Amino acid sequence: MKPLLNVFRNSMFFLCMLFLLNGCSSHENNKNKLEAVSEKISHSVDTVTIKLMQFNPAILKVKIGDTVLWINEDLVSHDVTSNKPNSFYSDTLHVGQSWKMAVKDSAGYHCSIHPTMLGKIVLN
Amino acid sequence: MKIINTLTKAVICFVISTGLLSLTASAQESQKLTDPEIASVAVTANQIDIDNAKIALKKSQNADIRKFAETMAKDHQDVINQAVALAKKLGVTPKDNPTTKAFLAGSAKTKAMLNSKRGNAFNKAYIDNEVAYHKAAINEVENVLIPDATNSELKSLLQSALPLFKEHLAHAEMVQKEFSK
Repeated sequence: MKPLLNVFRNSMFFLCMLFLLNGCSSHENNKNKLEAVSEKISHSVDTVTIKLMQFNPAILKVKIGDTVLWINEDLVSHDVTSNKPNSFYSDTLHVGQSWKMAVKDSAGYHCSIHPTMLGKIVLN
Repeated sequence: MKIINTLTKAVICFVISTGLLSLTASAQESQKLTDPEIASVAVTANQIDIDNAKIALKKSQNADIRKFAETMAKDHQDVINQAVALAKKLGVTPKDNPTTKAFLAGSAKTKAMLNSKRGNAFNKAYIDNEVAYHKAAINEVENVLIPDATNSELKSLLQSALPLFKEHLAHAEMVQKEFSK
């Protein structure tokens, strides 16, 4: 009788541990999900399309910490270069390539390959 | 009787004018470029500007001229690559025509003129030619190639290339200011 009781006791203990562990991990999952959602709310990703020799939108209003994603959908290569020297710049973006940057400040920028192409990031 | 005479004259005038109109229309129709001819003009016109850029990269030491020439060589090659890929996809073989020949004849004279110049005289001649050449190319694309193109993908490629050529013109005019002082 005693060995049977021991087996029962051990099984119950094992089941309780499993329940507790599962509870912890789902709490952890929910926490991660909440963090991801709040990050989405506070820092969005805004897209600038490069097409027909224009940055579209040419003026983009963003919040500090937001990410701007430039996508080259044009016929030729372009880049994204800050008007302020020694600030941000991308590599050459060949057709279909993209580049992203977290915004720290308002800035004017241009394409250094095609200097008449201009864009602006404005902090809201 | 007078009314009948007036009516007869009006009918004759109408017949003559509509006949003239249809003659003009058929003359314009016969001058229209076909899609294979348009492909030939597009490839030739882009290649001419690449050739001019190569001369500039060989002869000029000016940073702005060299940067502009590098952009011309790269961008026009990209357009040629896309035009050739599209022609292949559509099964179109570019076909020589009077417009292509006119472009090539003009190009031979320009190359001879550019090769005869050195230093700042070369820089000025090159950028002045780029301004004039892009103006002519934009006019040709806008008023001949796009209206004449029948295939929608070819028309769309030409329409997409137009803002590129206009940017090249604005860039060339920006550099030209440096040499007109």
